[in-house]
Amino acid sequence: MRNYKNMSNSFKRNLLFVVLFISLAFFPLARAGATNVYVGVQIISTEPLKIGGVADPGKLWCLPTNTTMGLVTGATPAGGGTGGTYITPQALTSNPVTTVAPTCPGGTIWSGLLNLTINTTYTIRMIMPAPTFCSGYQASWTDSTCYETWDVVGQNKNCNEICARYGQTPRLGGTGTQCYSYPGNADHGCNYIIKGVKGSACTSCTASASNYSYYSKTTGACFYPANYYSDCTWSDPSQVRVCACLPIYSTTLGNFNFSFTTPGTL
Amino acid sequence: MSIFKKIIIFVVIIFLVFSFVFLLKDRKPEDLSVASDSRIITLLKKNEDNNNYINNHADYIIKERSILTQQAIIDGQNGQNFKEVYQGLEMEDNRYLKVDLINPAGDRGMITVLDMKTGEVLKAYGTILVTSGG
Repeated sequence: MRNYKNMSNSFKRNLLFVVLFISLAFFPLARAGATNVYVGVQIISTEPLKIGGVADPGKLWCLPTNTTMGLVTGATPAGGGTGGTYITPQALTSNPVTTVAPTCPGGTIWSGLLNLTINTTYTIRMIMPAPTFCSGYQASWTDSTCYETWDVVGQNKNCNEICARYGQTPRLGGTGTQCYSYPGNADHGCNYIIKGVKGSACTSCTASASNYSYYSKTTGACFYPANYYSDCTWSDPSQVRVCACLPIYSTTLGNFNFSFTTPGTL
Repeated sequence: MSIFKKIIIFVVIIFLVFSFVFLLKDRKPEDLSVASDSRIITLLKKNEDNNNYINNHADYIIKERSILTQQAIIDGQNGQNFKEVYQGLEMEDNRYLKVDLINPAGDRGMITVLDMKTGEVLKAYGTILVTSGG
């Protein structure tokens, strides 16, 4: 019989590998600090929606349908952004998840099943498709724009006043001082924005430009005046002005990150 | 072997078979609604993650215990949340018990599926709740 002291070096190495292999097989990494968990994000904000700067307790701020929530490796990148990598979820679920209904204060968005490591920092990233309370909106990869209206007969307002009514500020087009609605491209305006806030298609469009800023309550036609670039005080009560406003609370509402650290034990 | 011994063995075998069938036939399925908390906890502790959770949260409570029906399994498999909890279960009523444990703070918990037919822990997943807003 061979004495251990007399074993060859190669045999010792092989023995070491065998021991390591057996150790890993019986003590997989999952038992060394990682575990399968669902992470829930509960919305606790109770701040009411502000209409015209005045809190309306009857309306709560909610995350809209199609909000995505996912976990990203590492701490929140400086200044927010979209850095980091979404963790690969366990089978059957996805990361991020997408909500199918608005999530209001008290509600919780649950992640898919994730294998997280204890005592490790992750970032929860929530991306909202659009501001919550807009008559209509246009979302882009950089930000979102609300489109608000005012149709009280005899009290037509300019965009400054209309946006302020919703606690927002006008999104100025062109040079930054013009107050026309800012559809962005020709696919919007009459065919998209105004249809969205009207609830139905325009009966006609009086010009081919994309910057339609009004629709008629009586005929349903969409149009813009010749001086739409500079006219911020149009006040024909038969027409509804559609104004581009910056979203509630943030100009980049669509992207919200915060980090958390997993507990040492469950 | 004599014919007498063969007859004795045959009779014993017949007796055993009939007894077995009789016992199985008379065995009623367990009423999961009356399973005691202590029995459930005993079963939960068979799973290492559950056992650790219970040891780390002495003041845990059973937040919910629900008997899974076939419809509940189907709904769970097609639902928005916790799909894994319901996957791979047999379409059988009154067999599985889903047990949710939670700590008093409400931020750490366990979701477990027990197979009460075999007394096994089929699934055990942790839950972490974080809050956001202002």
